[in-house]
Amino acid sequence: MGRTFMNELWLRGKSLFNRKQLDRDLDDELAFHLAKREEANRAAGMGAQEAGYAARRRMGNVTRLKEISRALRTFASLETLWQDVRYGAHTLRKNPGPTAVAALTLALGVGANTALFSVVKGVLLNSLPYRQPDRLVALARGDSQTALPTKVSYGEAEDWKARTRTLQEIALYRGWTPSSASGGAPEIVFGLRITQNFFDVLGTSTYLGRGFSREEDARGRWHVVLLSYPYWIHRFGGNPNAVGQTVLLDQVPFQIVGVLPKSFEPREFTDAGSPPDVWAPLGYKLSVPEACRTCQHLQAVARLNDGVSINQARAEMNSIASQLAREFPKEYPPDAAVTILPLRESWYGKIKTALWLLLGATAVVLLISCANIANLLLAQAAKKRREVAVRSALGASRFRIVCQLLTESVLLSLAGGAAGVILAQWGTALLVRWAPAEIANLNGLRLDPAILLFTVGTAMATGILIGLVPAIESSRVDHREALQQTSRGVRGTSRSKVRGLLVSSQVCLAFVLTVGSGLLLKSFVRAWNVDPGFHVHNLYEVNFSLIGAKYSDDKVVVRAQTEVLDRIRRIPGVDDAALVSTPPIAGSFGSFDQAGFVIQDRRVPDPEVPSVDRYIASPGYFHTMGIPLLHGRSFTEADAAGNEHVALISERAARQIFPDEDPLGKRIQLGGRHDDRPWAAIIGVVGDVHQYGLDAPTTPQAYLLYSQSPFNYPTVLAVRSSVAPAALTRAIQEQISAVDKNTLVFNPSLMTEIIAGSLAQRRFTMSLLAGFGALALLLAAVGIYGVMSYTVAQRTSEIGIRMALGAQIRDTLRLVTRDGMVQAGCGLLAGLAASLALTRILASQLFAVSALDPLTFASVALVLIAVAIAACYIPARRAMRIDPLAALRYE
Amino acid sequence: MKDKKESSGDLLQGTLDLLILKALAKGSMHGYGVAEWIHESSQDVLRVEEGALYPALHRLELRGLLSSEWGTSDNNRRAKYYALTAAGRKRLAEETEYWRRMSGAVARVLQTA
Repeated sequence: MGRTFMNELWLRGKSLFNRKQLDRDLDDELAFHLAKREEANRAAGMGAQEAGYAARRRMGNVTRLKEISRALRTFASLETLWQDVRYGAHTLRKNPGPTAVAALTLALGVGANTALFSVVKGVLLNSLPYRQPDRLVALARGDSQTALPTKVSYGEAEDWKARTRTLQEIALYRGWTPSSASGGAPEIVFGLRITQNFFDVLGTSTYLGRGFSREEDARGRWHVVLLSYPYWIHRFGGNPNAVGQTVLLDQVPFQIVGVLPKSFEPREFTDAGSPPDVWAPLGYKLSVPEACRTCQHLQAVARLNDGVSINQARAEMNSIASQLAREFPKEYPPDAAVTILPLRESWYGKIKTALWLLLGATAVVLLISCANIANLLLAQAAKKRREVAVRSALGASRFRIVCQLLTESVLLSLAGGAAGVILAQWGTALLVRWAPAEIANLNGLRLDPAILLFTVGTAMATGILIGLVPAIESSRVDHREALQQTSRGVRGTSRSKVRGLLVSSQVCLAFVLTVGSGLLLKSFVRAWNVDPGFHVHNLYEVNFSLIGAKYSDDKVVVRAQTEVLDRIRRIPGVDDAALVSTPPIAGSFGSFDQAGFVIQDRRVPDPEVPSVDRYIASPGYFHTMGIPLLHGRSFTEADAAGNEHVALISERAARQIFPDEDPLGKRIQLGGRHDDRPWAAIIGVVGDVHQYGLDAPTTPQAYLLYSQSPFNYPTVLAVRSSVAPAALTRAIQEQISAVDKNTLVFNPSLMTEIIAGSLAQRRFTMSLLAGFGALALLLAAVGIYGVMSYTVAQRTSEIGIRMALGAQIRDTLRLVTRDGMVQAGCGLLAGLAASLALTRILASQLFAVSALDPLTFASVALVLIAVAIAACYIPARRAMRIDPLAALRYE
Repeated sequence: MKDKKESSGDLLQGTLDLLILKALAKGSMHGYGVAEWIHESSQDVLRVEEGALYPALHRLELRGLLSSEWGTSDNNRRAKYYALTAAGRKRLAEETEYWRRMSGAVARVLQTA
């Protein structure tokens, strides 16, 4: 048994290599047999011709016989596979147009899906790199008035800690941007101040040295610092002796107690977009002013107790919030609550919808791609009917034919998949570059190999599944019918119905995507066109911080600020310049400064004190920015020099806070009632500016004078100039250094860029969806075009006859385009219905546009109709040009 | 294992295989010769279809029951001659014995009144 098996293997193996010789042998053997039989027949008295025929008849189907013998002796599957691959490649090469379209279609589907899914996985699915990340939650104090609470106060957090049974630990943190002047030019360092239990909550330990002790997290004792791994490498060359050394931060010595591990990159905890470089204890206690119950400026992260669900924690914390509201009615509104979100949700909640939306869009594009490929393969299969019939009549088995057709579609999907891999690689890189900061700064966002494998697998499966249908169908052909029928097609077969359905669904999906992107585009344009309340053109911003012990004196600060301003104004090419504490348009990293608006002659309980955006500005600020003065007068240099405190409020503040009174002359304080301090008289009303982005509503605002309410945290210079930004930055830097060479100058930016940044997420979603919409439209056009060309090609002779019989061009045109237009029309109606249902999902992403905006729906319908007509017209023109004689002779 | 099951299970194929082995027992022959020999020896009762003969020859060769070589026929044409191998001879004996028993049994069944 073993020996015969080896023998068989040997013979089969050998036949792989001298296949040609063996084929020839087989031919010879059968030829010899035929010759002998013919001889015998002749000997029996048949005529020469008759003898040959009889021999052949008796031999039967030679092709089939050969095939059986060949299959016997070879590793048949391997060899035929190779044959099929070559044949398939040949067929695909013969039709470069459709092949390229199908492969590209698939590549786009695979590429877009992989790229986007990699991002979605990175943002929404990958678990956070902390211990038991799903037990981590973010806490914030809110009430019905606060839309998106993010902050807590030290005082209330202490109470929460004491009363909660569902939370293991509550850690607090706040941003910290000290200046570091040690070692050359001063620079801003991004850091966090954290409670001592912060690293315990996350489950992180130090790489070198130790964490903070309980004693160090106290007032006056917190001058110890932990370094991030990259900062330690960058500033200390990775020297372990750095631990124990002292660094100067904000001119104060801090002792380095440790270095955090390399893998710890918690960039989501800061607004800076990069992981914090330095960490220091928060160092609060209940007696410090910042710890007050209403000073909500800290963020909180906590760990759920084992076995506690987030809903249980939510219920408990809300009842604690209500207790506190009862105990401290002055500090809290009666509906005070605590929001608890999973940590990831608190970071990416806003962008999540957009990402899922985009992912849905790519899935739709993949669907359309598959429909397109199915269409193409069906058309190919129709063209192959005759070839299949011939092969099958010649004795090829059905299995062989199916295999061969399948090979072709697998080859196609492989090619598409391979191109898709390349596109996915580019796509992911491009996405990360384009994406708004929340995504772009994410840890380790890159092409995910598992996802790539999955999508390429999907592409293959698509090819096989789609290939299977026409392959099986066409192998079932009735030879005689197919052979006789030649290229004359019949309308209304199940195949053309399937193709029609495919076209309709493509149009339908394309409609949905295009409407979606149309609505987003309109929102974006509307948001972009919102008047920010000031002139954006040629407006430039730069921050500076005066550093040094001497600036603890307010007078020194104001004198230095004034001198800087004077020097900047004298720079050639600078039209105007002003100082302000907080610039408008807070993008994702922008700042704002809210304060209570206290009126001298209106005593109200604390919770009813209205909140306004506070700006401290130099007198020329409104002129520099182009903010209009509506009533009264603006700040003057005389005000700046004088002792009479003055204030300006915005139109919205005037309307909301003084609905029935004239605000002019009212005396106010910002940030709490302090009867020992001077009150500022309102001298005018200015226009509203959009503090929180163009697509956010305006808020009440109030302005104080920089010389009367000194600040240095840092100072923002607003400069109107047409000088190139780089040169301007250099000139400003020089002038500021001339005042004090230790001054820190940072974040130079153009207002146009700031505004673009504030709309980055909107733009990102919009442009991606628009891209997908355009792609869908294109694919649908290709689909319609494919079906139409096929119809025309099939009916060439019919059209020829009709025209020979005197049919008008118009009739021909109608005949040809009817199917295509009907299919497109059905798709359009289905798309309309689907869009009416689906655009609601978009609502949260829209701005000043209804999810059912009739204009958008109408324009998209028009565009799709135009595309459908164009896709029908080109093949139809071919039909009109048919020469009746040529068409009839064509067969 | 597989071979036995095939030859005993599939009567038609097994029978053709047996006839081929028997035809070649006397000496090497080409395919046409085998077909003619069977035809003649069965007194024109059995006519072998070429569509079945050649695949059978090739299968037996592949299993090592037959060997083959190319030679020149009586009228100087290239022809493939098949011969029994030792394994083929052994198989012929087994199959002949098996066939005898089977046909004897069938005959006895048919003779029963």
